[in-house]
Amino acid sequence: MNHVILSTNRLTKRFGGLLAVNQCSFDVREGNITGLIGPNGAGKTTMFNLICGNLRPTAGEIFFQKKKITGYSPHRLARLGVGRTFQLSRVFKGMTVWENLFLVPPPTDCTKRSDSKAKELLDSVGLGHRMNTYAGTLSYGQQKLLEFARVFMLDPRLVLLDEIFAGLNPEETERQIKTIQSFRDQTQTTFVVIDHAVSIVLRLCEWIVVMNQGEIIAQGPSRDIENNGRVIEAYFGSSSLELLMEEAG
Amino acid sequence: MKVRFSLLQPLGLFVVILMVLVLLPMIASTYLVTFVLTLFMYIALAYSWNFISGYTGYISFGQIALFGIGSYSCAIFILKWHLHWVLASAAGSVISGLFAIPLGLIMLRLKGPYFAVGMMGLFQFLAALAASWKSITNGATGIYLPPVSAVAYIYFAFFGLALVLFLITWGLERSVFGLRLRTIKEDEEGAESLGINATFYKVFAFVVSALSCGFAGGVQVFYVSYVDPSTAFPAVLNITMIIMCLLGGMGTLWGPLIGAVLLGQVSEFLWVHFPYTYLILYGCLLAFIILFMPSGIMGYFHKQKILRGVIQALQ
Repeated sequence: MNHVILSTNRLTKRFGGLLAVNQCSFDVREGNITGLIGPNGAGKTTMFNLICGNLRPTAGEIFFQKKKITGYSPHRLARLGVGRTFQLSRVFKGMTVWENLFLVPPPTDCTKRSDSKAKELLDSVGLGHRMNTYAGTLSYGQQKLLEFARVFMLDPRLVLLDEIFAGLNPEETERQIKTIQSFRDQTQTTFVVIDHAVSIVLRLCEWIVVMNQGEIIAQGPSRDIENNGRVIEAYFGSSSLELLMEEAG
Repeated sequence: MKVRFSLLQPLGLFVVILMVLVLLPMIASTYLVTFVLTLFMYIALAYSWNFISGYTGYISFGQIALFGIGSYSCAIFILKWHLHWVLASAAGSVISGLFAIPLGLIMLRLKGPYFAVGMMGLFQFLAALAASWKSITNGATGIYLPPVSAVAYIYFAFFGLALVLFLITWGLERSVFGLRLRTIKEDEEGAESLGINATFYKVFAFVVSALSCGFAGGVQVFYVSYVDPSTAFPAVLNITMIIMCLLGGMGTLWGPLIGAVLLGQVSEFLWVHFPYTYLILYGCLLAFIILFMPSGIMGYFHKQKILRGVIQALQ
């Protein structure tokens, strides 16, 4: 089994009286595609924001490549190889597609020139012919593709994708799945994926972490998760009586 | 990198205009020279505001505070240490720049209207401080300096400053550094997630702005040979430099230049013909620009360019 690239240890984030993330511990293995699922408000995006340094945890630790990264700033983490995309695409709309990629500071150990790398990445997501258009004039699906390609300018070891499939049509979704898989196979990049489309996540990911109300309620290989009672309950609800009966056996 | 806007291609024209401007003090009337000199100061200030507010999107309503720091520093250097006025202005510029480092680190944590109002508050605070800190600033009485003999030197100082700032902006427009600076205006969090240290870029732009404001303040003090709280922290100039940049187009190479030259003429006209109400007209102009052309004259061209791109993509 591959070694652990990212791990959180009893990670907690409190917003006033709300425990958005509560004592969450999980590991992400190198080269895997890990899914993070859960109903609305489960704390998935908060978890991403904690890992990427956009939020400071109230308690707990985060390790990346065995190094403690709790409290690191987002730009420092990006330089270390933690890339992310956002729930709502965050391309620089007033710049051209090509500028969007070119402006990313090259990694320190990078041998390849930024412009040839940018071109290759754009070709791989099918935006090669749109290099000189303004990013704001692209369709939403294309903006998501651009954001996806852009994060690879960092030569990331770990990429967190926050609802990358939201707003894509079925055709674009299929294409995006293939792109993620091929990027993983070629570069051995590790992915963590948040999405509401559970069927896609189950198909794409080898490992699933399920959150509900700030807590991790289940984790395991995707085939085990599919039939996990607590996961079904988190999504579809269950009356407390049934729960008691279940526990009583 | 491609040139964003290639008006520079007729390089010959550029050189000719430059030559005329260099020779102007020898051939033109004193009135014209002082008028163009003021224009250069406006251009320099508009560019300096453009660095911080045009590129990073942090709208400062008090950048003139740094002009004031430059003014007072320069006056004190000339009076107490008998420095040459160019050196004194440069020293004022450096002090203003040094002051901007901690100031930027603190103030640029504020976003949007909070930063704008915060800077305005700072500007008011410094003006009040200058009026009350009598041992250094001589309070409301002000500091008097020996009068200037030749206007031409002042002219060249402002000309040089404006030219340098234009060239820096030109460099920004062509460089990846400038692109990264603009990401802060577009989406600071997005920029951070791509490994761009937004704080560094913001503070850098703020300090460059402070250096140029400070230098302009120093030269201005030597020019009017007098400094008091209202000439060091001129409220009208504070708004003028902003309107100029807005009119021409924020975050563009030509915007501040076009805005300053246009509005410089307009304000001269208004001031001569409506000496009592010209500030009211000024305010109306600001409201008009914000309402009807928020991205300025250059913004209009930029929109046309984007539209052309869309049409090409559709075809």
